[in-house]
Amino acid sequence: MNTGAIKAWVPQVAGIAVLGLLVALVISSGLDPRVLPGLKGLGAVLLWAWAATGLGGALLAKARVGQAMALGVGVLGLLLLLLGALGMLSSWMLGGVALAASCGWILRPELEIDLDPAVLWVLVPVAALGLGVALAPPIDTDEIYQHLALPKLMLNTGGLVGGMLTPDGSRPMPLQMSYTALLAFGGSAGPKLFHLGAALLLLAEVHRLGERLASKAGWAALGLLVGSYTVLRELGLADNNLPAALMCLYALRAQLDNAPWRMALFSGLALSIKYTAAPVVFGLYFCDLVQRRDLKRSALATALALGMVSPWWLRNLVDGLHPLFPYAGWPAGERFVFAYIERYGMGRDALSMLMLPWNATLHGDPTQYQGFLGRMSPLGLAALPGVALAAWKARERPAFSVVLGTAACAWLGWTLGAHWLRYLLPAAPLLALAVGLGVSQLPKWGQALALGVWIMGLPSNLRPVLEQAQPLAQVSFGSRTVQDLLADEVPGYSAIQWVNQEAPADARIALTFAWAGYYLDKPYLLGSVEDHVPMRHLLYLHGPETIEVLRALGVTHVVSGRVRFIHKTYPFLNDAVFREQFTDPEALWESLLIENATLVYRDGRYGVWHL
Amino acid sequence: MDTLSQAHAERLDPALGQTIQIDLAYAGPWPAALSWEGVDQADGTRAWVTPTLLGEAVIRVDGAQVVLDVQPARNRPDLLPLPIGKRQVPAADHACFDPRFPKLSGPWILACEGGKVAVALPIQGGEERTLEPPVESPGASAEGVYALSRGGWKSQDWTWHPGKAAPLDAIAPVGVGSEEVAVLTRDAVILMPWDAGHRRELPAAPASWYAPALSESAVLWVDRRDSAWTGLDVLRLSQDGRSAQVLVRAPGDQVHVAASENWVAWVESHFVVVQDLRTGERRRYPSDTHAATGLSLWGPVACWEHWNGQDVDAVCSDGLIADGPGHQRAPSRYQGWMLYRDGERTMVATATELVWDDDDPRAQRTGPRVSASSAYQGAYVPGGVRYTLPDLEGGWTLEQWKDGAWVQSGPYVHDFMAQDAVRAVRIP
Repeated sequence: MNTGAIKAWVPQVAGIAVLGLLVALVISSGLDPRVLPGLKGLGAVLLWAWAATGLGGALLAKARVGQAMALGVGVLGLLLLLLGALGMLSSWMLGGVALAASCGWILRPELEIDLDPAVLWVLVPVAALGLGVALAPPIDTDEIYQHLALPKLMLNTGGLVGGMLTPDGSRPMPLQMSYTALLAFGGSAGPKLFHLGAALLLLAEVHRLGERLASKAGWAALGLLVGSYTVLRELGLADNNLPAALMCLYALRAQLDNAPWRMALFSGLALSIKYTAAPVVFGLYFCDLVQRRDLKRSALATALALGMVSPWWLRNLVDGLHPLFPYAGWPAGERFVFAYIERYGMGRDALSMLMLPWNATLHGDPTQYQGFLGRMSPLGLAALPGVALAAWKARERPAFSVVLGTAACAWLGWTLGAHWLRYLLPAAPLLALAVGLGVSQLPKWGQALALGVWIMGLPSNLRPVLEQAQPLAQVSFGSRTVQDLLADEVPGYSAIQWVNQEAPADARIALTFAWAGYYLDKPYLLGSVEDHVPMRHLLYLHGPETIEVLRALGVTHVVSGRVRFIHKTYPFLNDAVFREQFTDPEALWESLLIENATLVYRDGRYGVWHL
Repeated sequence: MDTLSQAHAERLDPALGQTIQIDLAYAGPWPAALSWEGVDQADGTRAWVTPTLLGEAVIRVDGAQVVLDVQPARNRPDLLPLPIGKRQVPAADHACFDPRFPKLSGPWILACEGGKVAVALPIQGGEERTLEPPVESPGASAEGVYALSRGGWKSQDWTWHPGKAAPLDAIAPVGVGSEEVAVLTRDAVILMPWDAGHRRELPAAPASWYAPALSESAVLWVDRRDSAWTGLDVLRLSQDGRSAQVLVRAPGDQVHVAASENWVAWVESHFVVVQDLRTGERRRYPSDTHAATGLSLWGPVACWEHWNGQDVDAVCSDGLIADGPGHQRAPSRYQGWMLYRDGERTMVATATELVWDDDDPRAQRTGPRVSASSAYQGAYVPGGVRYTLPDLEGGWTLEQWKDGAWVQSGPYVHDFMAQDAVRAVRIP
């Protein structure tokens, strides 16, 4: 279905009119309350996607619709960074930004939609799975502490958040800035549906590019992605891994199209959405340099890519932080580890590294750190002989060498970092295309065998996805109440609700060893990230004075969780270090609360303390 | 609701010169403009009185009054710590999601497995009872264990009583009585029979987290209706069961209610207060209660968590104390046993002696207190004291205080006359 370029004014005006009508309908209608959030979210997605595509299209002049939208989202992220710095993040201002961005359509960009109708047979069931998750309230840890919590906090405060006491907010957040607008317009369903749309776009684009590279490569690449738990679990969540993957894919496509500036733009956006895209970007630039042998071109593209990320680094510098905070620059950094990468996977010795493809595929377990906290389709292993054949042919097919070379760099980069399969997601399209090329090079019987292996891997990859989606789908489709779901699935939800309902309107909250900031309706400090880093670091710095530090910051109530760190999940630490890093800070905090605060609410592991 | 009800004295038999607190449970506009009679007014509806004449003293506040019986002497205020033995209960060591557990339900220890309350262990040993299916945060009292919408087990025989389907949005653990359970929602107190029957609903504004308390003579809960003025208050169900009455409404929060027999208790910021529902007397036990996460009541004996300046101790109003390094938390009391958590261990403190003197809420003086250096707490009663002593399981003997020493009196009985204090001694 190639609709070609969209040039006419009429569809643009009609699109805006339809969107306006939809928004008016949603706002004014007395629809079933279970339907309304979904419609609001959909309205917000259409509005924001329209605006981003208009802006991106105006910048690119001629592009695929997805590329225009992706670039638009990235640029809007930078614009909203500026607005946030000025303390002007309100629903009205965000609406104004959307309207201004929509003006990009006036420049009449030539946007192309290019979709194989057959791929809908895959995308529709995948979309249905993601829809059940997207329409349910957020319960995923990353959503409720970061991807949705930060946008909500920014909407509550009207400006940017960040620094030592809200370190998550100091990460580059181009995507979360868009989530802020989507949350303001459409509630939590807005960002979640937007992310689902981005994920479906990624799948469609992987298929399209794969088929362009070699027959059946697109289908095999698509199969690898939709047959992997680690990919499927992201559908319907408001997250950033798959959008980063989409940016990586567009960067690759730009390289293959010999469009260095676009490659740079999308590389920079991929990096700023998720630093774990770095190995992909490095690999792509390396392959580009080897292929084109144009150092000046590489240097300029690198500068442009880093220029896309640098506003976020600059912002940290202005805040007096290390540019790469919170990944670096903690005051107690010499004795304080932000994240222990040894915690993930089955070892880091030479043999373990060599066995990594095998182990990560065969021993992947979504519930175990040792099991890479994820699972992927065995199709990748089955395609390895074909990948070797594709590599052999790469001498004659430059595109093969770029895809395979970048995928190899991405894999190598992942092996050097934390062996958490989720961190591999930005590289997922590259790896999927490499596998696709591998399958395309196999003889027919080999392809049949690969298909069999893929089918064999489906039950173990789909089962945990369906198990996780089930309670959410129950809420989405009305057979379970939202309150029941949140009480069961969100750690500390009842304590958070206590604060929302009972704490004074001017109460200032600190979240200590607790994640669920998204559900807090009042401004708050701290919150958890990685191994509850912010609070551990604060205790590390201030020791017994920590409670006075919080009082001086105006904190009146503390929502505190009890983690009970387990040594066996950090087997690489000796007793003394484990105690110093984990159990001692938590015990100290518990003692300080008992000594200096009054417990006013408790539910299970979570309590609310009045300072 | 908005009527003056009852005046409460901290002590109905104060000694000459002993300053005691008088409270008035008042539910009208705050602050109240009252004309006090016979006392020094301070703090609105809370005042202090220092008797200067022996005998009857009547304190009147508009329609409410309290009658004091002023004594020539007073007991020394501090109780002597009771001698105890401590033992760990490894079977109850598993941590519970709900930090109120493990706790005692009568002579049974409610313990957890997998974080949920799953088993009842007899405190003196014997066959344990499995609670199937385990429940995470049930209501529990000496009467049994109850989980909303699922039902519960009566501790008498641990029989299962299926609950009625009650789609209630409860905001606190269930209160468990012998015949009924109480459920708190945002805007009501709901009383439901254990098995079947009519459900009663009373409009109220309960505070979340704090479980309601039920005894044969009272249903009470912590209420937030006037929290903007007086903090959290304690309300009770009226005698006819149709309306809410103020039990205590005073500046600051009154929280963690408990009820047992004819006594009710709650926690204030610097006191634990035990009220005798028959006489209205309110005994106040000074304590730094900021670390308290609950309150246990066995008759008039309250147990709570006391911050000693360095850590938390589990203390009881009759002198049974579990202290030592670290925190001793979540005490629950039944007879001579106190269950508590010491770090990650569950412990039982067993009193080898229990002591009552004429100052005990269960003692009836037949004459005035007279100061005497040989008396147990500095005062004795010439006409004698009639003690109505509680049930005690196991073997106990009784002794009485005479001429500065404990003298054997024979086997333990519930009714006993003595000149001064008595004590029960556990037979090894």
